[in-house]
Amino acid sequence: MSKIRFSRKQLTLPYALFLLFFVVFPLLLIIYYAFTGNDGTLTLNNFVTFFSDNTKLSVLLISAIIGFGNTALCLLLGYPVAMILSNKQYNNSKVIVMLFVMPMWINFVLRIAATRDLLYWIGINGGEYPYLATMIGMVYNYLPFTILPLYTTMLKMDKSLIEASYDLGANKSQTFVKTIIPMTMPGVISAATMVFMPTMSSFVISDVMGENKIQLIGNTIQLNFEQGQWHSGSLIALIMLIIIGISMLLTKNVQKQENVRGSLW
Amino acid sequence: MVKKGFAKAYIVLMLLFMYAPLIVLAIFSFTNTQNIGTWNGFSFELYALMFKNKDIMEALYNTLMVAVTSSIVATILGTLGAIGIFYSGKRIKKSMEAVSQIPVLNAEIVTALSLTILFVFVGVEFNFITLLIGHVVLTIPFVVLSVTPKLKQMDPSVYEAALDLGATPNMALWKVIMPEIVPGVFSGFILAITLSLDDYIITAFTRNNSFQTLSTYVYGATARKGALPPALRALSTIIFAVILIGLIIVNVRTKNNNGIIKERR
Amino acid sequence: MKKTMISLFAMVVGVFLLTNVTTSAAEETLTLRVYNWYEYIEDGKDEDGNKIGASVMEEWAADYLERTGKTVTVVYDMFETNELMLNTLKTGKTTYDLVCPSDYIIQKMIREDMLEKIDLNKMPNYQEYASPYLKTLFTENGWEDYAVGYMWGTMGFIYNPEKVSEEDINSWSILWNEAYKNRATAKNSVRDTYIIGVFYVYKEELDQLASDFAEGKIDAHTYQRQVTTIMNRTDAETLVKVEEALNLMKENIYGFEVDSGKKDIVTGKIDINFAWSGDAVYAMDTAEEENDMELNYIVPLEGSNVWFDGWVMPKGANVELASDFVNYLSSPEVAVKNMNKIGYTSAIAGDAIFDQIIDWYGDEEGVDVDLTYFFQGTLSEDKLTDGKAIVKINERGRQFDAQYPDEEIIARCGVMEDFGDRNEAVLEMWQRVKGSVVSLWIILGIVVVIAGGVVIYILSNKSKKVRNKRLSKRA
Repeated sequence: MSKIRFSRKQLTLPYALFLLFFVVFPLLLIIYYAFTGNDGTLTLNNFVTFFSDNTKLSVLLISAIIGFGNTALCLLLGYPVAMILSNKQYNNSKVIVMLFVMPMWINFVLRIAATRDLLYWIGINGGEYPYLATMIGMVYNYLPFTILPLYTTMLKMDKSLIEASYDLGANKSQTFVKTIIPMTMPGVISAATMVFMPTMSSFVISDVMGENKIQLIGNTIQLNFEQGQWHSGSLIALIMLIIIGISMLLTKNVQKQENVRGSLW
Repeated sequence: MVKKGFAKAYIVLMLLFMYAPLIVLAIFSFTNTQNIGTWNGFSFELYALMFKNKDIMEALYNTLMVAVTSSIVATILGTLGAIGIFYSGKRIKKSMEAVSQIPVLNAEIVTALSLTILFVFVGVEFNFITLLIGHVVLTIPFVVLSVTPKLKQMDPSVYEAALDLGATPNMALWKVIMPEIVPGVFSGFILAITLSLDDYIITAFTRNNSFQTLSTYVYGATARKGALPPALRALSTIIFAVILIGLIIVNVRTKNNNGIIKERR
Repeated sequence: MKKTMISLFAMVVGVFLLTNVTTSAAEETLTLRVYNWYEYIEDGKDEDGNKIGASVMEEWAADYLERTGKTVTVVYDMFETNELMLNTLKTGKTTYDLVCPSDYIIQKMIREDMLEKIDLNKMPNYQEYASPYLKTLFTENGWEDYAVGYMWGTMGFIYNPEKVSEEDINSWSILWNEAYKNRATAKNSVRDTYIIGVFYVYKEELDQLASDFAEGKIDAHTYQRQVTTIMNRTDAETLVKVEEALNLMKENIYGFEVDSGKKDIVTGKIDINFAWSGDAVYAMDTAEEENDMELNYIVPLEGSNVWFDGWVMPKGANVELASDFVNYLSSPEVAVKNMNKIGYTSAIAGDAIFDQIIDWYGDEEGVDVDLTYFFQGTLSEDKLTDGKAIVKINERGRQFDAQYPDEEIIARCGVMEDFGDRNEAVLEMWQRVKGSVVSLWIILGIVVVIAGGVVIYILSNKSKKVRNKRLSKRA
């Protein structure tokens, strides 16, 4: 046995160093680049250009709209699936659940290319309907990501609460709106987080499905870096980070909220 | 009963939607034709072509290698880190957990770019190591996320009991804590592999130009040829089949395990 | 047990890392690192990447071994766009001995002092066999010290003559023509598609030049210089007009492609493709073979671009080895091989090339086409007719014209220059075209609405929290 005495706390060290070098420091570099100009001096120029120019803001807006749209669609389609799957009355085996999750394990580029070819065959091609094709591609890709967290949350749902609701005289729709939906909120939020940000920042799906016609924030960042405009690219990346930070804070509030409500009841 | 019918129908519909591209791909992998939609007679030619294609085979090999290696590194580093964090003071705990979350929440392209900037800043030539680091950054938070709940579920007094019974801290760590969290470590490892196999963005940005993984190969081939190359249909069908079989095996084993447990009772 | 597991893990990791890190370690053999376009050399593979023969790289390595007794390995990487290539080089992501950029990027690289100087004495084949036309162009543009020609061509349209009228396609404005809505593609590259915009905006001026040339008022050289000047305009006024034009074009075309256009037109996905001449040859050949379909190539009347891809050596390259490889590529026989495979036109002239052209396109009943401008001084006496390089061609507007444009076509083709310090402005414009622009007011409005929603949400949460606290206090 080794004679090295080390405290369990010290186990964090290698991990902490790794995070420091490869997560924290690179982000600091991005912030640095965002606030520097081509000549290396500190400047707010990039910021000013971003906000004073319609283009980038429009791209941001469109990315957000597509993000919202995709999240909404995925939730709409996925919520019933999760409900049905978690209800022992309708479904007893885990196999079907796994079937819904399985596409995640097949390489995503392969799946997207397959989807594009299929859509082309039936006539919806990226040339004529870039937005439609992209949305279909997005939903197709992110649906498993919504079903899984919803399903997990619904499994843990306290069924006795639903019964109690019926006992107290509520009908089906009232129960649904006032009891079931709030109970599944953590799952919904978790699913939404896992879908919204990646949708906004993806560029592969919009490029492949939209025949390069659609510009999302992800495309813009990539374009800037490709063309050597590291400073404006970093700035857009920074903006994305801020947006993520804000949404993280907002959802933290909700999650805490839900804990309080749950324990009250 | 009508409800059950609706429910089942909805599930079937959703499953069809999710698997349509893959099924179509599978069907057309058995015929040697350039476009999906024309049938050229049943043949295994595409499969033969696929195996003979050195580029595809090399990409496949590379993908697996990166996935396994990076997952091993991420699992070791992440598990140690998770244990360390768990036993650390509140401030360290909170800050480490926050930083750990960054790659998860961050848009993948921002993470990829930050790493690119880092490597250029340091001045290294991109090679397997840079790619490895990229994948570890991507997957390590998920390892931590998988191990931590198991740590929380663990009975804290077990460690103390082990020490009381004369074990050294080392022994206590390996023989008492580890077994408790192994399920978490394992699922973290599997999660890491899944993420790494699927990844495109980080791979594209941190790799050496000569190194192709499945994702970059498919993306390049699709972008250049305008449609998924026929040989790749065979590849996707094989991947699909492998995962399906794996799923069935896992399902059968858990059923057996459950059965055994029931018998013991 | 756990310890052995972990040490096993460590060993496995170690083995994996070692096997891969050492592949980049230097061995005793020489290595030549080449960075070239996709599908731009005889690589011994077929359509789908299956190996069917020897590649030029392998043949050169064998030849080198025979001559010097030394083994050399060729690492051959490929890129899709000039910009990606430049990015790779600039960030030091990977280092190369030999790279094949396009004309305007060569300019940029020379300006930024990224290249080693070329010693033409190390490349006797190039000196003897390269086309004088190209050599002149290189000298004129100041590249002769740093670059050696590889392939060249023009830019224009591949089109399906059964679906597209010849009159319409003889102008860039066909991309704005609603009769062909969603039937055409342009390139997803700002450098190339920008030119189309400029040609559309200055159509009148260019048409005037064309008629002046036809009437003999200006000579070919002046014509070419004028076109070059026009097509490289990047002043603010031009940018505005081009942006407007491209926005309209974007709505009318099927999409922007990087490389799939030459295949899409064969499958019929589109009828018009903005393409480089080499891709046109590929498309025409493939269409004939696979679909029994005839496609044509045309360089529109307003003018176009004559482009070159050349070999350069980044700073720090192994100049000896790289020069040897380029010299090998510059022999007419090897050039023919590459041309045969990729469909582009080599910068190399000489007997072997001349014979190959006659072999491919020559027709006894055909019309005389004068290619002296290209072959001057590189052919042996017996190939010449009256001291000129004449070939008899029957089918015009097809592969031959794509590979060897006659002097009339060449005259209206200008040379592309780097955007220089206008790069950022043009890029911004391109981003606006690619994205969709929403009015600023709408943006502000939506932001206000969202911000309002967030504020209301937080406030309502606060009040709920207060209520809950009160409730729990009571309980």
